[in-house]
Amino acid sequence: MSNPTNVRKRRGANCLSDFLLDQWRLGTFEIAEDKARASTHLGNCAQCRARLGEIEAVVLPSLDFSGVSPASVPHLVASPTRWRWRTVWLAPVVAAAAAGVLLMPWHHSEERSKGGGWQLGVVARTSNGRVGAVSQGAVLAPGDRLRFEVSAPTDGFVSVISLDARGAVTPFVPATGTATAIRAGKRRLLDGAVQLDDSVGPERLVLLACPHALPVAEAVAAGRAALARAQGHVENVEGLGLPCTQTSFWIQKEMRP
Amino acid sequence: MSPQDIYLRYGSVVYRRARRLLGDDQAAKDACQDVFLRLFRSLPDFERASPVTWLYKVTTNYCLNLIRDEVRHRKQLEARATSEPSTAATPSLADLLRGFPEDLQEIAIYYFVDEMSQDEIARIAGISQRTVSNRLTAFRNLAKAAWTNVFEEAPETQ
Repeated sequence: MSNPTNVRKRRGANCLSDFLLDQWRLGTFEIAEDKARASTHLGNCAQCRARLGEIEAVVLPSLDFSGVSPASVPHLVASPTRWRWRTVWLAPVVAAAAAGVLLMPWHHSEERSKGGGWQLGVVARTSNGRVGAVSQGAVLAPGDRLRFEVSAPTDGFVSVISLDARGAVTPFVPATGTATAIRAGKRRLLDGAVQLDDSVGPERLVLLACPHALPVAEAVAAGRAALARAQGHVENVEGLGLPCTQTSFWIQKEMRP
Repeated sequence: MSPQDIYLRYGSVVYRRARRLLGDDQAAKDACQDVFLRLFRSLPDFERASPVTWLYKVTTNYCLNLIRDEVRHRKQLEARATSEPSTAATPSLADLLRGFPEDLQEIAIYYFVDEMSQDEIARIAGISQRTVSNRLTAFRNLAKAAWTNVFEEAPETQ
């Protein structure tokens, strides 16, 4: 690291910070002197005008929050989530034409799966940037990214695993290690997220809420055994046979044209 | 304003800031999503505050938390893999902030990375200018001490 006292030399002494330039372009000055200073300075400083141009030229990521209402937003946990990625193998879009226009049932209600007071909710960000909570049975597509919110009646340990139509059992959150400790509370957004892979068909997202830190491998093994008992039909899977509260959230994965 | 209108109006403040601090476009998009979800949850707070000030503070803290997680994660990996710390050719922001107290990290970002005035920092951080000045002095002293240690610990080559 260079000597920090010398770092702050990239702009002229009176040049405007990005903070002031943002306030200028958005017209949100709190202090009148700031506005007057910015106006005068921009009139005389080509460098700051160029920086303002650069700021205005930034292309915003196309996220769609139109389906979001304040009541539908989960409580964010103290630490922000590091997105974790599943490898996505995009199959040839052979069936895309047959899928037609897919409509995602975005909702504003409190619909979540329930089990012994434990509730699992899903927040999705589609590949076209739409963000919001989704309902049971929502149609999602490969490439969409999911995060999970849990309402916990007691302190405990939770994990979310996926059982899909091709018979695969995948740990979603956490991806490895042991179940995540969670405090009692409503709509806790879990650390970790997944990107849906290219399998299509019904997919069952199972929340396991346990009194102990269940190893993820144990949850996956229980899921595989349950699928085997159901002859591979995810719709017919019943309990996973673990000493945990279990609740499911169904999604339908289809290719999006 | 609807959530989407708020995003369209203020989104670039968060996106640019996150991209600058995290140095990664995908991480910046994730930051946008999380910061705006937080905003919509705290809409009354946002509407009461100065919007740009609120967004700078929340985005900065969000990114700093990610960076701290990265540092912690790397420390764990280093502890598992080897007793030697990893040596990257170019230090990341995480490397630069490693070992500094959290309250100094935020101020250092505003001052050294954003080149804000102490008055602007005081407004965003919600502290007095004197406190900003004191924290910058503390940061400089710690940085100086850290560099002194680096040289003292370096093996003699001649």
